[in-house]
Amino acid sequence: MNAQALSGLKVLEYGEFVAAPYCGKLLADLGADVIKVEKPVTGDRARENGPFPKDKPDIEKSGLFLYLNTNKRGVTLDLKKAAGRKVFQELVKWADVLVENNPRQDLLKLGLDYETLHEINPKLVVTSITYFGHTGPYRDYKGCDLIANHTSVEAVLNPCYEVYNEDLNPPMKLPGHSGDFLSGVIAAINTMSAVFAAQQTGLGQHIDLSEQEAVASIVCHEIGDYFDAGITYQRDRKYRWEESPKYPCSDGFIMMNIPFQFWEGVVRMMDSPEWAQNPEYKTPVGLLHDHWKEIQPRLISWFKQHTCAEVVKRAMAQRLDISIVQSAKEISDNPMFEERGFFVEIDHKKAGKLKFPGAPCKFSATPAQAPHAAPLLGEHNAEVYGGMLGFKPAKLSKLQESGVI
Amino acid sequence: MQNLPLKNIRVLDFTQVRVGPQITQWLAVQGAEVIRVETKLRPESFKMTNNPGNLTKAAKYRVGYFASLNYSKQSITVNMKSQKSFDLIKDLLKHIDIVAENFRTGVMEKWGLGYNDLKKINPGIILISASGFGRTGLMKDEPAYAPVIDGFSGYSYVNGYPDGEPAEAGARGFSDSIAAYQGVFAVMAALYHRSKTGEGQFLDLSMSEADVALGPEAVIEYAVTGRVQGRLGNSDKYLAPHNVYRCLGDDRWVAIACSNDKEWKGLCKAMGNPKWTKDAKFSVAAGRRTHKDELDALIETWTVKQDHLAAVKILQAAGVIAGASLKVEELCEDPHIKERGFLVDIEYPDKSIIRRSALPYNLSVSGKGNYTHPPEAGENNQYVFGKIMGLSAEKIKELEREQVIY
Repeated sequence: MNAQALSGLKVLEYGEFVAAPYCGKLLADLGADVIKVEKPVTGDRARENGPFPKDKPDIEKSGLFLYLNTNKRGVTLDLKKAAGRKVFQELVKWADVLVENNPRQDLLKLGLDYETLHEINPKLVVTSITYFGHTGPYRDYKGCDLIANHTSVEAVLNPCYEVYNEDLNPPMKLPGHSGDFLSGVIAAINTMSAVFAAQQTGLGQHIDLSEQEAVASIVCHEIGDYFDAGITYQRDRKYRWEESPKYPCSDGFIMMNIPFQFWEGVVRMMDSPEWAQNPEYKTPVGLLHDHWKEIQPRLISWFKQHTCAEVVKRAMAQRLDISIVQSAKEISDNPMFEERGFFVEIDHKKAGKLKFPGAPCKFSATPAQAPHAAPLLGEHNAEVYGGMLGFKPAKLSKLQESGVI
Repeated sequence: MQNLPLKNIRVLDFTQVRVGPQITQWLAVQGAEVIRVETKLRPESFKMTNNPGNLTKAAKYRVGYFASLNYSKQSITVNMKSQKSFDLIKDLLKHIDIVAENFRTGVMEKWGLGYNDLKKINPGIILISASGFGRTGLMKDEPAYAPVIDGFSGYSYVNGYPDGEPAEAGARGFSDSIAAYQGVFAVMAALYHRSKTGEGQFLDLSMSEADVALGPEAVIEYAVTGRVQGRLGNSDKYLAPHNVYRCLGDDRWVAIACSNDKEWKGLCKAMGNPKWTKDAKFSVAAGRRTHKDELDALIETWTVKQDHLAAVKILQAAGVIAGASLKVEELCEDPHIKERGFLVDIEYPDKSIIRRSALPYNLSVSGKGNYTHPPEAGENNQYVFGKIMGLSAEKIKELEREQVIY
């Protein structure tokens, strides 16, 4: 078996829900040894969040948890107890990296601030994800994905092209927990950066990632335009200088970019109707500026007379830039994803077989391996505490009886 | 330059538009020497778009989208129609650790710069190719700009008001950004593997796959329940309140969420405990979710009389999750954002300055990274061909005369 890209990297994850666990998953899926620490009895909050098979809540069957925690080992530990914090110190000594997304004040209360961790293990990289970061006046503000979206400008720009009256159409967050996921991948980049620094200097450091900034980093064009030209975009269509690429078909929607160089292909796609052959459409300004207002409704009426599948087939024959607005079902059954082996099967002891999205990027020398399912709550307690840390059976049962693990 | 983690890494950057430049920008900020390969035959695509920054009188590399995505890099210019240019590039590749490109499938191979060629020149090289649908498979030859990937990867399907149509995500090039971040992480992992083994590799980044992996929730829902999830707007499947609420002024809003009873009680107190908050149906989480529309309307009777920024202070002081819907000008002038150094001033050799958002890269020892001005096309020809490759000044002049360096 080939080595994985991150084989040998030792990661401790003390985080919940999406952001820190997604960071941990990205590292684990590439071969890092990730030990996830959960609180006893209830575990990671994502376990309560579903979706559940047949809608029956079960902490071992949450779809979100099962996706976010593949390839990790799972242990339980109560850090509110002094004995638990002592065990945690042993894990901190073992690890190269600690990934966490706890409120700053909670860490201080538990004695897990960076200075203390650094004393225990000077090589340790500590990756902290919070909503507003560890510095600045809002550092202790509470947040969630909704807040990361709204405080980062993203929400006032969303949804794109749909809004004619901002008063009736409020700013809107991205779907799901996109801000948390985005923070997870950025945390993984930052983590690797600090791991390289540690290779060079032998010393770890503290990463302070703010979810507000993580999401704001995708708004870089709008921020640049503000500083260059004083432009302040919002979600209303009047702030857009391009036209919506979305077109309604008879059975759904498609996205299609029509830059000038694609126009001839668009005309052929429609079997070259007479109206589309107007010589005034043959320059970029004529097409996209002077006449687009009359062209767009005619395009829309053509699209409405065809199904999405038919339009896509015709457009792809002309090598146009197009896609159906795919639902989760269409994505899951998509033949291209199938051919590239994008989806992977997770076989979980309690939840059974599930078809989940696989690796975000394909590696030629260290290809992805079949995933291990997410751990049951405390599944690897004996292996980690007994095997790895060498606790004697008597100590293990004492920790268990006192509810520490 | 500061002592940054990637200071010994050199990148040859063939990318354009958004996804590719955003990948190499992350490497540049972490200290890698990123050399853009450009040509005077035609300008970079983002220098040509009519975005407002480009409509100002400043030179195109100093403003607009190009400047937002290409700071901290260098630039060389070569004539991609001349064989001698490829020979020159192949010599340069001996000094390179990472190559990045986002052309259509086949362009690099046509130039003799596909992964198999690169590996022969330099076995430790890491090549990252970013494309809409990957470099293999049914759709490897299809073009893909952001909205199309937004549709293909399912973001648009679930992005929208509950009673509205599917919509492209708000920030321009959203799908490119998130794919780029997945790509940067892949490069970092491949570098780690190389640091242990000396082995390079080819990274095939499909934007559509990277985006489904990062926005998987509707697909998970389908895998677990067989249901096709629709659009939820600002609401959450389980929590209420979880929405934005109108405030004083024109288009001002505050986002509020309660994840437990304690936060709900905090919210009631912050609003002055009006009578309606005592209604039994709002006393438990499930009841608040069931009656969320009624609840939202009642909360808005309070927020509508508040300034959106002042409301956040009141709510957070009461232990409630809250944030204002910031507009771009508000974020850019926000004291918290400023104090954390999220906005950077980047100076050109002539002392003129542009201001941009930094990357969310904030390390206690390595610092915030390297921020230098976006390069003019060919600005670093002398350094790259002379210092890195060791060509003499006469040789460089000759290559310029022959329009190889061009």
